[in-house]
Amino acid sequence: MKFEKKGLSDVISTVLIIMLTVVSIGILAGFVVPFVANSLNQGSECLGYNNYFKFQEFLEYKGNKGYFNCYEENSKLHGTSVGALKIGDVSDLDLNKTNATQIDLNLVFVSANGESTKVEIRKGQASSTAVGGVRMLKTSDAFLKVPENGGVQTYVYNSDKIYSAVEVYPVLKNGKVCEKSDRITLTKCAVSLNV
Amino acid sequence: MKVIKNLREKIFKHQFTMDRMGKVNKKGLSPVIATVLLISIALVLAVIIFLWARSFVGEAVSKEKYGRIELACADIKFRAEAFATSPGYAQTIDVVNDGNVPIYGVDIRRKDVGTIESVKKFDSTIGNGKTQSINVSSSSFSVNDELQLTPIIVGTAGETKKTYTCTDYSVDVKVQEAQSS
Repeated sequence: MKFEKKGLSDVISTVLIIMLTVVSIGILAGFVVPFVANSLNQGSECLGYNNYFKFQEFLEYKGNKGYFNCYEENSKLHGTSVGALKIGDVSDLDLNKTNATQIDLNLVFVSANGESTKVEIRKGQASSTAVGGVRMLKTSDAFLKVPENGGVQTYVYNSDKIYSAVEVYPVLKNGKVCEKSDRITLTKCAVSLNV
Repeated sequence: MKVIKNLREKIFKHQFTMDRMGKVNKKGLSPVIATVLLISIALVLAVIIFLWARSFVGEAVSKEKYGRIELACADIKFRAEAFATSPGYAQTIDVVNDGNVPIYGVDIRRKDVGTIESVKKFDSTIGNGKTQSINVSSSSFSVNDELQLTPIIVGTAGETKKTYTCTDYSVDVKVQEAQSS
């Protein structure tokens, strides 16, 4: 009994080990590596946009300083000016080639008692003057615009209540909402939001 | 007694088998193989982490003599005048490059109530000391409008040429009425 005990032959065990190795590498290459790479990409997508949008406090135009981060008490219109971060923009030599990267934004209006409402701003979306709708400051603009690098856009949100603050969140092309970029307190308007 | 004898034999057999299989024949990886494996694993991990972390760092663009291209932006000096015919058909911008850095293009932005947005990106090199006239499509701006002109320069990223918009070095220009000839 003692001396008749047999195990796997060296050849068989080597073949088994090689097969196991090949199968393991196949599983790693086919499933684990793409899964990890995808997870890492998703986790880092927002890195360049964390502070991309900033509320623009004053906008100087033709010698006048305009402050549009405000609300009108009677009409309950809320204005807010959003600027895209001024950063050196690296691109190809063809300057007029349209840049594939497109970023949208969400505005979250917060009231004094903590209530909040989300307003989605999407490039090319039809503007609305109805309650709950959003439009550009210039009523003649039929579609919403999103500020590009160094640019500024002012939005007017028509609400049925007064909000005291607004926050801005970048939204990536794939719909992913990044962390809050900026927050500003709204004051009573000293300028008209009907331009 | 017989039971005890059997038990002793079993224990003896078990110990004998353990000695043969466990102690005497026990083998592991050689130190050389183990070291090679450890170094390989460390290298593979380092490559994976490097490739992953590289995506966090922005593309570095350099310009000869300046190193980082941002430093070249500080040396840009240019003047500009914008003209439009009333009611605003022909629109031109004259740009004079007074600095030592060639300007590859100009990002023309128009200011309006509550907005600053890009009108056109002009791409034609304006050499040092040269003047270039830019024709802008009609209805882009009119007399008394305010424009913001941002210079664009060229640098290299690796072996490819890239443009860099010097956003913090913009010049504000008020559109004047063009003199009829």
